[in-house]
Amino acid sequence: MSTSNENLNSTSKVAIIPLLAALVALVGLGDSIYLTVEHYKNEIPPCSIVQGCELVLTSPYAEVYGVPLSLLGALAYFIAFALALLTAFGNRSLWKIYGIQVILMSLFTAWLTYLQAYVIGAFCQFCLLSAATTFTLLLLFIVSKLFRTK
Amino acid sequence: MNKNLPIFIIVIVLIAAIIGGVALFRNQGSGPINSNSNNSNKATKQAAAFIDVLNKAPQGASPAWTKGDPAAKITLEEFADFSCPTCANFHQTLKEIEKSYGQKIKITYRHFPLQIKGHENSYNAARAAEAAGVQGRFWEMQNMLFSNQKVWTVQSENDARNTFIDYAKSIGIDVEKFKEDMTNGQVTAARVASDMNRGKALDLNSTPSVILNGSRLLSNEEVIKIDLLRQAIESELQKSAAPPASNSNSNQNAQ
Repeated sequence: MSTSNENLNSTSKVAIIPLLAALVALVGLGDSIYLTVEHYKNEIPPCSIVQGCELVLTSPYAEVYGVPLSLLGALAYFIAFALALLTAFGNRSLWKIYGIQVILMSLFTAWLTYLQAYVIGAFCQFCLLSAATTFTLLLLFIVSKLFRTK
Repeated sequence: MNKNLPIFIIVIVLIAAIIGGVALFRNQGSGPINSNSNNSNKATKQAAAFIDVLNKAPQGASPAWTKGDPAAKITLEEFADFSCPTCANFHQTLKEIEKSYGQKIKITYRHFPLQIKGHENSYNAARAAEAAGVQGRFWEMQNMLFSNQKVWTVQSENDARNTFIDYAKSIGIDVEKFKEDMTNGQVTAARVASDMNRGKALDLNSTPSVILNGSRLLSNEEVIKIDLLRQAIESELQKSAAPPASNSNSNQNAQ
């Protein structure tokens, strides 16, 4: 029942984990920026008999109403980064918002990974890196919760 | 200070992200200067071997679909697949090239539908383009297919055929004849097969594969970046202008 008032006891643990989360979010941010730029450059490698086409980034799922998913991803990572960093520097209440955001991101990422595996039938490296990043962010949140209960 | 530090970092990251993104976007064609110095012995040998293969390869559908002056000094022979997103981009690139060079460049279109996942409708699309071609509207259909690629590539075989029929209607050709030519036409089948045979003989394994001036394949970079394609065309234009002026006797050894 005292979950929300435990902040004081676990200060040192929680501060490190949000800092880590902020760093991981930066990786995701860089990755999504790269993908966004590639999207707007419209420079897709040729389709090859061996490797197929770049199916993922050219699929209809790569955009929502003309906005590339990677741009939304960049925005999400930036927000996650900001929340995690502010938490690390003492604003503990933001960690919850971070948690909610990261859970939503993970659900969305799971769906995108499912699309790659079963609908599009192809993967894109930088999309998988993004998936790994998001799941790491979620993992860090879970770990921080586990530490708190001890 | 402790309170402002994270905000400060966040602002820095935001600025870095925007600047980084813009810089990455602008960072095009960083290595075009090397395009000539790449011609080592190995490359020239490969080039000679490719010309040899070109000479031996079957001609493809005849007469081919071409645009521009038939006697143009610069030729681009494109092997493409209607389902290939890069080909759809290259289709737009060629429109730009046509605008800049007009009749100076002869552009040939050849079918090279790849048998890979997601390209189940490629072959039928090629037949559709040829079926429109029977009625003299090849280029209109070709443009239709590339412009609407995202619509019909994801459709089932039957739905895609119906979509092609809709395109035929909108182009204004005889739809019944189009249907027949697309599905059962001997001519359309033979023409697509001829183009594919030429592509196979050239050992092509990706689309778009583009042959410049009947002598070399464009690199992937040249296909993707219009600036590099322009450079390649300009250098060919210079070559074709230079020999009669100075070294007409030694031009075989010169390069």
